[in-house]
Amino acid sequence: MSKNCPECGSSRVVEDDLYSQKQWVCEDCGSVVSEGLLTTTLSEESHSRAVPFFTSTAAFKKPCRNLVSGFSRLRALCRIFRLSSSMEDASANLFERAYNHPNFLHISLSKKQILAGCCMFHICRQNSWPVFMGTIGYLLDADNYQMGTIYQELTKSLNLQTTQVCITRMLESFCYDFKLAPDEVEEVFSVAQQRLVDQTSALLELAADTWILTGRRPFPLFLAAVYVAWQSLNPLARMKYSLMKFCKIAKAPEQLWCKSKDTINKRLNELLEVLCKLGRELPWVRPTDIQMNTVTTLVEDILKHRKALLILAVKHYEKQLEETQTSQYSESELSDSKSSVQTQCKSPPDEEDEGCELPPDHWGKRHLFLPPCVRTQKRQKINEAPLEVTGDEDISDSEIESYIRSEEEIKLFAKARKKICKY
Amino acid sequence: MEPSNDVALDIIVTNVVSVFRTRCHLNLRTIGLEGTNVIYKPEVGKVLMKLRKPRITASIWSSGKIICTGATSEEEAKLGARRLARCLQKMGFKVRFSDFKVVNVLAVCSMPFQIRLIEFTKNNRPIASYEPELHPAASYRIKNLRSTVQVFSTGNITVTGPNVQSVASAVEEIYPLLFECRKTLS
Repeated sequence: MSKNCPECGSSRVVEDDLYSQKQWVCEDCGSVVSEGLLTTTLSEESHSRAVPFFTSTAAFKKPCRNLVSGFSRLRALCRIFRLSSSMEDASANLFERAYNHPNFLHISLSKKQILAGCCMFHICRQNSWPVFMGTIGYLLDADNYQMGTIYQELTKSLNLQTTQVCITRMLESFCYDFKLAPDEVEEVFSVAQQRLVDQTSALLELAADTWILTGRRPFPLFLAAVYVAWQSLNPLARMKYSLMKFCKIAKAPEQLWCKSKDTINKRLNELLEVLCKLGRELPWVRPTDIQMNTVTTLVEDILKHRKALLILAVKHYEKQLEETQTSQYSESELSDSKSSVQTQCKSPPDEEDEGCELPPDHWGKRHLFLPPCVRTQKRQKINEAPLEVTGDEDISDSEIESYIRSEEEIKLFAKARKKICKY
Repeated sequence: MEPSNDVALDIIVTNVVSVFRTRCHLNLRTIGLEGTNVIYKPEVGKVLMKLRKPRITASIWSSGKIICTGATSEEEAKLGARRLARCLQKMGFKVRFSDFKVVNVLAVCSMPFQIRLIEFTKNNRPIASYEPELHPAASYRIKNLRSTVQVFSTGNITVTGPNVQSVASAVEEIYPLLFECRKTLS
């Protein structure tokens, strides 16, 4: 800018940079007319516009690294279960929604992996694709409890509709895991797929009617039922093979039987017990011939006539109960005159002794097939009489004194604690 | 078929959980030393104190907040809480019994019939949920009563709610739904 020099009035004012500081100097007298600021970052910051970091460096917002790894895990799982591409995309969408939900954004990495499995499980359920939660848990190395909590959290947070599992479809897919086609195993062991499925579903229907299926985990029972069905289709040759041998012959995937061997054996025994009970009703067999380890030979016949056998068994049992009751009544009448103590239990003749624990008109006494929670004896609860209190009564001092230690006791206690804490 | 109106169901309250505040700081080490039925847990930062009559277990924190569990009725819970506060008063703390509230009531009830859980869940979706792989009971949440009922196939149900009245109403509400899905003898 050109100005007149205030000292000498000359108009020859030129721009002269001194150490990068702009100065206007008069040529005639040499006085500095005005000068600019020496460049500092402070001056630049206060005089120039701030450049925000994100506009200068970021091109677009990248998805979180864990989300990307979650997606790849999810797609791998979908491929293992051979889901269709539409189901895979639906699972991916659901996973993205769930991941960004505030309830799941800050959970640990392992839980995020489980979340991916739960999203896939939900989509499978919606499309009636039979998958066990336990199988997914096995692949993700998580137990049912962890899977369950996250699954329930997921349905609650995103308001998802849960659909019921279809047992028959689950059973079909379960049976396909066993490789028993004629070209895969020896003739003695092979069985047509459909035949196995039919036999197993008949056994499961029987289990549902006799309290073995309700409320239990389906996995172990399915395996026990498949084993019994396989044995029953050629009992004479196959009876000598144990459950573990059967799993090896059929090359069953490890996750089916490695974790819950005890439960599987329990279910197997329960199933065989029920089959024995029904086998006794067959008119062409002597009741004494029926044993747990030989009943497999009769399974085909039992399953064919199972409805009739169930009705017969229940009828016979009720008749037996009535007879024992009337005989007990007549006995008690006779011995009433005596002064001996009478036990009031009316326990049925061939059940375990559970009478005293159940109240007299409990349904458990009348039925032949019972769940184990009713059959086994319960521990006696300490039934104290409920206190008749109002909540606002006076509290006497003496009562409270019993909860407080005296001075002497405190000293002794402190001494004892010191001695113990030394070790 | 409508259920008869005069079916008497025994609802047995098994647990009442309540909280109250003492409005003063409590020294847990002193309580651990001077009290008889106490267990001091320094790793968690609380003291467990058990009363004999009524049979109550209390968790005491140093902030003065106390949770009482184990009572079998709301009045018993209040009496137990007051006894506890009195006990702490005698130990020398300036305790003021305030903000007593019953937080949770747990009750069990036995139906005279068995229940088909799958049918029950189908009829009451989405309020009822049943996952046999996770838990053997179907759970039914009643939002307006803020109660949850767990239904077992043997006919036993457990009800949890914020007070005894809501528990009783929950049982009344769920009885017709269970009656619809009862198991008839094969």
